[in-house]
Amino acid sequence: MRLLGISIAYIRQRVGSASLNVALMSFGIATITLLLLLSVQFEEHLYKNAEGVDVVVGAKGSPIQLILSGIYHMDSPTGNVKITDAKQVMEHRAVGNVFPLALGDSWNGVRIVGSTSEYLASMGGEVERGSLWAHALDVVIGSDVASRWGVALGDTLISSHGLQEGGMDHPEHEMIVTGILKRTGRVTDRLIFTPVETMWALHSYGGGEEHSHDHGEVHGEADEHSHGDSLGQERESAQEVYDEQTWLAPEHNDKEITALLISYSTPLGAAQFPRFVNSETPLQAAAPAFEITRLVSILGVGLEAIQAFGILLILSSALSLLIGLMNAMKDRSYDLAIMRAMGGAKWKLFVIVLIEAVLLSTLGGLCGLALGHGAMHWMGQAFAEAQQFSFTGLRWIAQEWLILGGAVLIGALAGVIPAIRAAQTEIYQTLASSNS
Amino acid sequence: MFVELRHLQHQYPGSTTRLPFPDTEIAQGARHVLLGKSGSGKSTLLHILAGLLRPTSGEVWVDGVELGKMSDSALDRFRGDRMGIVFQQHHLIGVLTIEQNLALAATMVGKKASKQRIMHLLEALDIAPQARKRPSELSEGQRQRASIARALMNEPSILLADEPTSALDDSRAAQFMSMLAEISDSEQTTLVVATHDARIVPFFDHVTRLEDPS
Repeated sequence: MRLLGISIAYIRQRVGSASLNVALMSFGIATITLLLLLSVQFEEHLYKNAEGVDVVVGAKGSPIQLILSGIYHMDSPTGNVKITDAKQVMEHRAVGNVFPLALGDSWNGVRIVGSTSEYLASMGGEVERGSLWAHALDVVIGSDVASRWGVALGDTLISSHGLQEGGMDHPEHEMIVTGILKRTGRVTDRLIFTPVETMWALHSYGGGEEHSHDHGEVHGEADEHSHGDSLGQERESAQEVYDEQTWLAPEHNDKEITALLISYSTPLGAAQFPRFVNSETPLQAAAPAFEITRLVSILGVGLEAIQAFGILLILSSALSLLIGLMNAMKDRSYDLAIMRAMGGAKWKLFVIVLIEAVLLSTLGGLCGLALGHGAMHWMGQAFAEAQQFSFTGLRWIAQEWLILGGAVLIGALAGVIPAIRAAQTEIYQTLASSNS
Repeated sequence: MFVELRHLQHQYPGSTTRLPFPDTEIAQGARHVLLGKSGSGKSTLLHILAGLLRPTSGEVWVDGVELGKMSDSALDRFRGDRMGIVFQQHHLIGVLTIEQNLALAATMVGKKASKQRIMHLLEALDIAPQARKRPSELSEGQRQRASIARALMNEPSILLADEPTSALDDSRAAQFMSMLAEISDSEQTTLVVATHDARIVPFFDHVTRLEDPS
């Protein structure tokens, strides 16, 4: 018979009250765990997707909106950028790598991103099946797009105008899937990639009659085709204009893109370049590192409120544990007196009660962690379609040891007062009162 | 002498009455009864002898050790190692089985409970089939025997019992005392019983009579 066995026997005796303690602790720990998993994965996604991008240049507007649309493809773009303006920006000596972004269309709600193969490579996009685009109107798709929609190589896609489902279709321009990307765990998994020229081709059609566009959707004012053009002619024409750097060709100076993703050639760029863009051009520069920090701090207020609720639940469970054990001490006073009479040292009685508290809080902590991971996994699955980022509950984060340790510590603290009371049991008085 | 009580007196806090106890000597292996009416202080004396209560004055020597000079923790250890106590109420731990109750006695003094010892005692007291049962599943008599087994678990050199027959009729009291005397003999334990029950006096070698202090 070990002290642990005695504690377990007492827990089994008051299984109802013990279950309540465990449940309360579980809910609190689950809330904290869920928030931890969510915030850590969210931040990781934010930073991972922004790797290699020091600054995003786009139309003036909200900097966060520019970052969200340009890097995470989560919001509407702030507007369009004329190629001539883009070129002016690119001439700055602080500019290193530049990736153009042409946005504005989607397929079944999946965003179509017009850029270059270099951009795709910088995002970790590696073709798993098929090949990279060879022509405009060729597309490569992210792994999630392929699996969710059952898209295969050679399939044709009709893009819709706008970034949400339900926009006006461009049936005249069928895009062909030439490649499917390897899974990256980044936003690339949920996007469709194509050359910038595809986006111009999609919007150049119209027989001289320009489509009405929202801000941020690329315009192809040149290269307009008549309604009577066949698809073959369209693709042929697009193929002619396609080349990795042709988007910078002088003949496209009157066209527009959505944004530029730029990495600096020198660390000093961070000090000079944004000021130059914001003051010398009609565009704005937004630094992902700064805006992500701002975004996280904005979201942090909400997360802290939920976290406070979780902590409140944990404290409630500690209080419930304390009250439950105090009542139990009252019921067990004769048992405790007998143990002391049998030679049981005070510290042994203290430890028996403390073990009971720690066992309950540990069980609550473990159940809470399991519940938190389960909830995160369910949320990741249930809302997968609505998110640009993927979340999973099948992941252990080092801080979870701290959560578990915290639960055990709180349980132990809640057990200290009842344990002291147990240790202070007066043998003679207690036994005498039972005889009277 | 194995047990010596010298100039013992005890006064409970808030009480105006001081209980005087006669000087007593108990030989090792003897059967000794502390006989007195209710209020005479026999249970108090038994608790003092067990080290559960510190007397107001006087000395208690057990096996050459003066209990009054021991620290609380040393007294706890001494009591657990050398004494077995059978209380008026059986006070078995309800959440544990009978064998666990016996094992608990060993655990409390830091000893490993011997399964063999547990079964030997339960068989000697004729309650072995109840080993895995909880106290609530036993009859009153079986519980009383279980409490004796628990008191003997650590092979004490002295077994103290407080009013063990107070609720028993003549035949059951005699039966119980026979069993207690027999097992204390077989365990070579000094037996000290505090009681008001004169029926059981014939089972003892020595009697200390306690007078009503009023």
